[in-house]
Amino acid sequence: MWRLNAVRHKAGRQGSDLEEFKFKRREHEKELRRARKDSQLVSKRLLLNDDEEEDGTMDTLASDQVVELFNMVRHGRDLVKKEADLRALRKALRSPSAHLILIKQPNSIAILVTNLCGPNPQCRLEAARCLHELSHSPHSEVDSLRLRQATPYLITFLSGQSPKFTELCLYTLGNMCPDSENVRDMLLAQGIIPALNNCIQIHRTNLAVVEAVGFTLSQLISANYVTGTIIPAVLASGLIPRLLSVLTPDSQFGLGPVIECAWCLHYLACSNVDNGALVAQGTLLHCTSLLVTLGVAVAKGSIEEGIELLIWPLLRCVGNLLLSGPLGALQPQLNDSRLLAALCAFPQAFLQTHPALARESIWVLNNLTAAADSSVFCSALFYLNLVPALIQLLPFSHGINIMVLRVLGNIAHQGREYCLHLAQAGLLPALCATLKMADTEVVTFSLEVLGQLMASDPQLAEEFVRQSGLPMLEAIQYSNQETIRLRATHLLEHHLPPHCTVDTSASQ
Amino acid sequence: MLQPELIQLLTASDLVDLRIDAIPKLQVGFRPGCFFSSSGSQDGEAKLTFIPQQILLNKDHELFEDGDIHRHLYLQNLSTCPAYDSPTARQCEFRCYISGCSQVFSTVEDYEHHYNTLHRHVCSSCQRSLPSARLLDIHIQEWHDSLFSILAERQDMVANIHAHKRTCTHTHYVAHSGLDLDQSMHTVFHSLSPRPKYQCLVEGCGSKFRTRDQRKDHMIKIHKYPSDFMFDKVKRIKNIKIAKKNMLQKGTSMEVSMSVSEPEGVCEVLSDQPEEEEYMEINHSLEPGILDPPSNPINTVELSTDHDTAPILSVTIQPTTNQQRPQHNRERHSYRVPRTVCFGQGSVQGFRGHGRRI
Repeated sequence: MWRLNAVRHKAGRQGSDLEEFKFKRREHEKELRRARKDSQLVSKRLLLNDDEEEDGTMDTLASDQVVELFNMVRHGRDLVKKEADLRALRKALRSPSAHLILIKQPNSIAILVTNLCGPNPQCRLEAARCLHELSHSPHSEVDSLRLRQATPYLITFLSGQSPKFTELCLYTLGNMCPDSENVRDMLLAQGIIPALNNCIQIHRTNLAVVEAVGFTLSQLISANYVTGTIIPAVLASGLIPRLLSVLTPDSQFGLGPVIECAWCLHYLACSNVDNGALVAQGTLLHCTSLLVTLGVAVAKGSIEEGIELLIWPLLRCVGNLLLSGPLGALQPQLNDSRLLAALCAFPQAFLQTHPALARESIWVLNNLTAAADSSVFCSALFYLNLVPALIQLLPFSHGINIMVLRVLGNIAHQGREYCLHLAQAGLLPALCATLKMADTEVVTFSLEVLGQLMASDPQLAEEFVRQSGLPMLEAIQYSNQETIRLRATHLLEHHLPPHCTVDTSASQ
Repeated sequence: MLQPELIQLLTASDLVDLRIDAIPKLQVGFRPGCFFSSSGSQDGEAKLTFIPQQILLNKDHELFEDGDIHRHLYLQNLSTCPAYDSPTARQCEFRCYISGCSQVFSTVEDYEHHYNTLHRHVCSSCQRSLPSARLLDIHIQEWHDSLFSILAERQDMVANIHAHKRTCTHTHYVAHSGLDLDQSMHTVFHSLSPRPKYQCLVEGCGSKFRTRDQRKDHMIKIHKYPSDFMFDKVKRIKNIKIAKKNMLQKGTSMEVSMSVSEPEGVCEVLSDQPEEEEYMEINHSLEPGILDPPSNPINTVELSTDHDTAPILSVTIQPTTNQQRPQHNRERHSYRVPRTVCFGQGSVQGFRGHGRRI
C-alpha cells in the first residue's frame, strides 16, 4: 500500500542529495511528457514487501546463482526449503538483470505458476511476489505475453480471502494491463471484471485491497485503444456503485483508495461511452458532494498532501458528465450551491502550485454556465458574489484567463440583467486590462465579452468610455492581427454610443 | 490565499439554505431592439462569433496533460519531493498593438508608459510624438501649417529687412507696416491674416510672440527654463545632398529659413548650402563630445539638440527598437542673416511672384 508522504523508491534515490533527486525528477517528468505526446504514458507499480522496507542494498546475484536458485525451486521437494528458495529468488528478482536470466530458463513461468497454486500458502505468496517482480520488469522481453500463463490463476485468486495475496495478484494484473490490446482482450475473456467486482465487495473494508482494485481497473480502462467492449462491460458490471461507495467523505479510507477510484470514474466519463448510465448510477452526485467536501477542507486550510490527486479526476469527471444531458435534468444532482464556491476556491488555493488544476476548475464552471438552461447557475454566481473571484483570475496565463473569459461570456449571453451585474462586479476595468495583453486569443475573447456587454445596454458602453477604454480599441485597430482588428473596428462602429467622440486629450 | 467570502461560503453552517433552486433567478434575455450580432452584423458579416459552448475533453486532451503527469509521477513514487517544481501560474504579458511596434511588457504600467510616450499625440506628418495634446497642436501649427509658415516667414522677412535696411543704400518701398515691399506684394501682405504668434509652451501662460527667439527668451526668463531645453525642432541634415532635394520644411528656428518650393525668383530667401554645411561643421567643432549622426531613416529627420539632462520635447518613433536616441548638435542660437537674401540691388527683389506656394 502506498503512503503518500513516506515512500522511498529504491531505484529513484541513490543518495540523500536533494538537488540530484530534483534533477532526476525533472528529467523523469520530461520523459513522461514525451511519452504522453506519443500516447505511451504508462505506469506500473511495485509493491514493497515488508522485509524490504529498509533501504538496504540489493544483492545482485550472479547469473549462475540465479539459475541455481531456480533449479532448487524446480526440483525441490521439501516445502520449507522451497519457501526459502523462493524467497531468495524473489529477492534476487529485485534486480532487473535477474529477470532475463530467469525467463531464459525452460518453463520458468510454469514453475512459478505451479507454486502459485500449490498447497503451501507461503510458497504461493513468494511465487506471487516473483511474478509481481516480473510484471514490473523494465525489459521488453519480459512482457505480459510471457506471463500469460499466470493470468487465469491470478484472476481466480481475486475472489480469495487473503488480503495480502489478493493485493499482489491485483497489482500484477494491473501492471500487465497496459502492455497490449491482446492482453486486455484475454483478461476480459478470462473474466477480470466480475472478479474485480467480487474482490472489491469482499475486501471493501481493506484499504490496501480497495486501492489495488482501483489501480488495476484504472489500468484496464485507461490504456490506449481500449476496445469497445471493456467500458460497457465495466458499466454493466455493478462496479460503479462500489466505486462510488469508496468516494465517501469519510476520512477513514485515506486518500489512496479514493484517488484510484476517482481516476477510474474519470476514465469512464471521458470515454463518453454511456455517461447517462454513469449519471443514473449516481456518479455526478457523489463526485460533486466530494468536491464540496474538499472545497470545505481547502477553505479551512487543511490541504492534505496529495489532495490535488483527488481533486483532479473529480473535476474531470464532473466536467464531462455535465454534457451527458440537458442541464436541467441534471440539476437535482447539482443542487448544492457550495459546488460553485468550491469551483472558485480551488483556483485561488492552487493557482501557484498547480495552475492546470485551476484551469480545469474553471472549465467545469464553463460547462455549468454554457448550457441552454444555465441561467440558474449564472444567477447563483452573482447571488453568492463569486464573480469578483473569477475576475481576479484574469491576469493569469496558462489558459486560465481564456477559460475565465469563456465563463464571463457565457454569463453575459444570458441577458441584460446579467451584463449589468457583471459590470457591477467590476468587469469593465478588468477588460480594459485584458485588452492590452500579449496573447491574441485573450484579446479576442475580451472583445467578444465587451461587445456583448456594450450591446446589452448603452450605459455599459458609456461606462467603458469613462474607464478610458476607447484608446485601447483604437490601438487594437492598428494591430497586424486581423481577428482582433476586425472585432475592435466592429465595436467602435456599432456598439459605441453615437455621440461618443474620439477624444484622446480627455484621457491623459 | 483564499478570500474570506469564499471561506465563509464554504464553511457556513448547515442552517443556511444552500440549495441552488432556492436562489432567485435573474431575468434572462435582452431588451427588445437591442442588437447583438452573434450570428451576423449589420453589414452581413459575423464579426463577434462567441457562443457559449460546453466542452467535452477526452482522456488525451492537451488540457489534461499536467494533471496526467502529476498522476503518473505519483504512481511511480516520484511526486513526493519536498520542493516540487511544478509549473506556476504566470501573469500574462502585455503587448503594444500598434503595427510596427511589437514590444512586450510584463506589467500594465510599463505598457501604458510606453504607449503614452510613443503612441499618443503623434503628429501624422512627421511621426513625432508629443507629450500632450496641446503641444501636438502647437507642433502641427508651427511646423505643418503652411499658412503659419508663410506668415512666420514674413516675420523673418521683416526682421531681415530691417537689418538689411540699416546697411543698404538703396531706396525701399516702405509700406506703413514698415516692410520693404513692391506694390503687389504689399497688397498681398495686407490680405493675409494677422501676424502669427508663437505660443508660450507653458500651459496656462497664453503669451504669444512674433518669433521663436522671443518665445524662447520668454520661457527662459519668465518660466526659468534651461537654455538647452528642446524649444524647437531643429532640422539637422545628415546627408546634405539629400537635404538639398528634400527641403520641404522650415529649418532652424533661427534665421536659416528655407523656401517651401523650388526657388524661382532671384532673391528668395534660400539657405545657402555651403553655409549650412559650414554652420554645422562649426557646430560640430564646438561640440567635441557629440557623437556622429547615426543613419536614421529619412522619414525621421532627426531632432538636433539632445543633451542628456535636457528634457526631450518630442520623440521620434523608431520602430521596434529601444535604443538610446543619438546625441546631436546643440541648439543653435545665431542671428545670422543668410547671405543670399538680397534686397534692392539689381532687378526685382523681395517677394515678387513666386515662391511661396501655399
